[in-house]
Amino acid sequence: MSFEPSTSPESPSGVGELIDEFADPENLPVTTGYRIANQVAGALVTLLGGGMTAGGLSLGLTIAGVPGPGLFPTIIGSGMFALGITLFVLASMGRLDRSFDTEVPDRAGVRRIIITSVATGVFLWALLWIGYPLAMSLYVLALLRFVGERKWLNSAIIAVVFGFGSWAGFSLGLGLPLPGSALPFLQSIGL
Amino acid sequence: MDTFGQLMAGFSAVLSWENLLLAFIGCVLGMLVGILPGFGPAAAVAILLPVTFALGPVPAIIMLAAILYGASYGGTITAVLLNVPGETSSVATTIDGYQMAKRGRAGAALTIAAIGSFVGCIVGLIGFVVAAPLSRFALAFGPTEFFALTILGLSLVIGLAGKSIVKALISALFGLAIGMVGLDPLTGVPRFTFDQAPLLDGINFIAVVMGLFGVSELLATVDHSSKFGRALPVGKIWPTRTDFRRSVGPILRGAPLGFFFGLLPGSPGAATSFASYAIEKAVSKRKSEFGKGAIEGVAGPETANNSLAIAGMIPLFTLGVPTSATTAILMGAFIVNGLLPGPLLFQNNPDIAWTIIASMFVGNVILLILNIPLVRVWVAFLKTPFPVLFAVVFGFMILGAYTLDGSVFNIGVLLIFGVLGYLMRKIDIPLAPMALTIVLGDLMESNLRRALAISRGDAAVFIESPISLTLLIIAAVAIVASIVGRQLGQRAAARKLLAERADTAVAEEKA
Repeated sequence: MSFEPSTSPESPSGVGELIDEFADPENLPVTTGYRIANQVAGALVTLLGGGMTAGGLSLGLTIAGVPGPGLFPTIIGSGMFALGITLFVLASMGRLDRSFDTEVPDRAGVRRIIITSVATGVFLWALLWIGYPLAMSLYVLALLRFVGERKWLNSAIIAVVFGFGSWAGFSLGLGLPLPGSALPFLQSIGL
Repeated sequence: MDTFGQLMAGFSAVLSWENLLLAFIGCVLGMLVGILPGFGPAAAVAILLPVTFALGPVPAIIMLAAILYGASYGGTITAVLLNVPGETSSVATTIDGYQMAKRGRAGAALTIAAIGSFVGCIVGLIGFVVAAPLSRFALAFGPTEFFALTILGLSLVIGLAGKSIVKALISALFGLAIGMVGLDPLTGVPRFTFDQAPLLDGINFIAVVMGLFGVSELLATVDHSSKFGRALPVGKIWPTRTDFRRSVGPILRGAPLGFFFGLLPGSPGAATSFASYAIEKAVSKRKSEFGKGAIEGVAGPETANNSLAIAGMIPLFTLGVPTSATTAILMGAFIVNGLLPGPLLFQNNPDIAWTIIASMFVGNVILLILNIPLVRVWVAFLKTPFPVLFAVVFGFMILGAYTLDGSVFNIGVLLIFGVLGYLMRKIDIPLAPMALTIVLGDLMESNLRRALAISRGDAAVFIESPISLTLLIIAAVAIVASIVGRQLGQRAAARKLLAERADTAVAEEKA
């Protein structure tokens, strides 16, 4: 068997056949989890829209007869409120399409995302204490070792090269200051 | 000075060794990020934006434009060698490009794609030069007309919609909502700042798009344990004489096709390249080769999508309205560098505008020169272990977010929007409308309020102005056209899926 899409005589350009021949693009099946996730998203958008509308009204739709700072937020908030409800209803009715991008992460994927998020949070905290070059080196080391599962030595070399290299490039080369350490002994060695 | 004279002045400004070097570096960096599987031009520009901060406005935009087309070509490399398109407009290229690669003809496919891309860009740029003076008409615009223009921009959201228009509109309104955080532009009243001082200046657009497109892409890439496929060998680089002969027609047809599609607001790249593919197949004498490695199937779509990318910049430069996520990010870059794209750019800074346009010609020549001999180098980069790229790109984005204004707050914004973008992907809420409306929001609101203030609250002002009325009608037409284009794109994608299935079935039957 060979696949050769037909060109109908009625649509010599071939464009017409694209319309008729494949009317039902393949999606992932809509699971209960996906439906619930959409319902939650719809509910959150509704809440956000409601909050924004209330905030807009409190800011004032008009000031001295001209449109005030609350007019636009009220319009946008109302739109979000209506769309949130629409999404919730569509999700509840199961009228959803689901692309391949929405595949649920596997166990290893969840682990990597959690490690990345935690490492980034720690990095933000460490940045204020030990300064950019050390914090970034440790951060890249953590990502390479625990997310990328590379060897310690290899990870350490890449991390130090990136951490100190980017610090030198931006701080010294481009003149963009990066955070220094708050600890006196690190400050004393130029970090 | 006339248009040609201004363009020549632009060329003389851009042909300094500093600008040429920046265009060269931009092409290389864009290409390096563009060949990361899944990273399109929008992500590449967002990620590499911080590199340009210390350069000044003109060199920064020259470099970013080079990053943009470098990344576009990077996406073509992965489409041909890995069957992984860097952006939706490269999907059509995977059909025959990957088949050519499987037959050891990746080099020929990539070279023809490079030549087609070059021709597409040059045709797009010539159209750009012709269209640029039209920006003078926009000088007659007042708040009413500008508001209608932003509505036209908002109508593009339909073109950027993924599976659901409702979700695209949610994304768009969310972008407008984010743009409202901070001090009200007209009265100075704090809005939605929750008494947090860093929010008074608003949420930094660049940090938001870096998170939405960069961080979320990285998270999506590592959320499965499966690995990317191995790149196929490049084979002989230079195409045969027959390849060239067969590619001339598709390139010449693809360039104007892409340009005119690009002028239509909200034209999705995928629909354009598939339209080119369908036309090439329809006019070809070798229809049976399509889907099995026909060079016309690479030449036409690649030319069309690059011509479209350049044409898509015309509304940004002449009217100040971005038409895609990538041009929205580029507009952010203009603003960060103290420039406002639109009619006033040509009025107040014609030297800057024409230097940037001239740099695009030069950048594309550099890209063509780089592409063909260095194809094997780019392919070697594909062999860099992904964990290393992941860690380094992540680190680089954090660094970039910090350097936006020397604030750790922006790193937080980057991460929050990265996670948000990841979650939005997981429920099929498209990211591009949000990027577009964050940029448009301020323009839309301030013009709406000014127009209503002038008309003393009478909303009829928007249909009483002929220009405004025309723009609103065009917006309505654009919405209808986008919906039709979207349907075409979806069906064309389905066609590819069926073709792949049929190929698999053939292979299994033969086995």
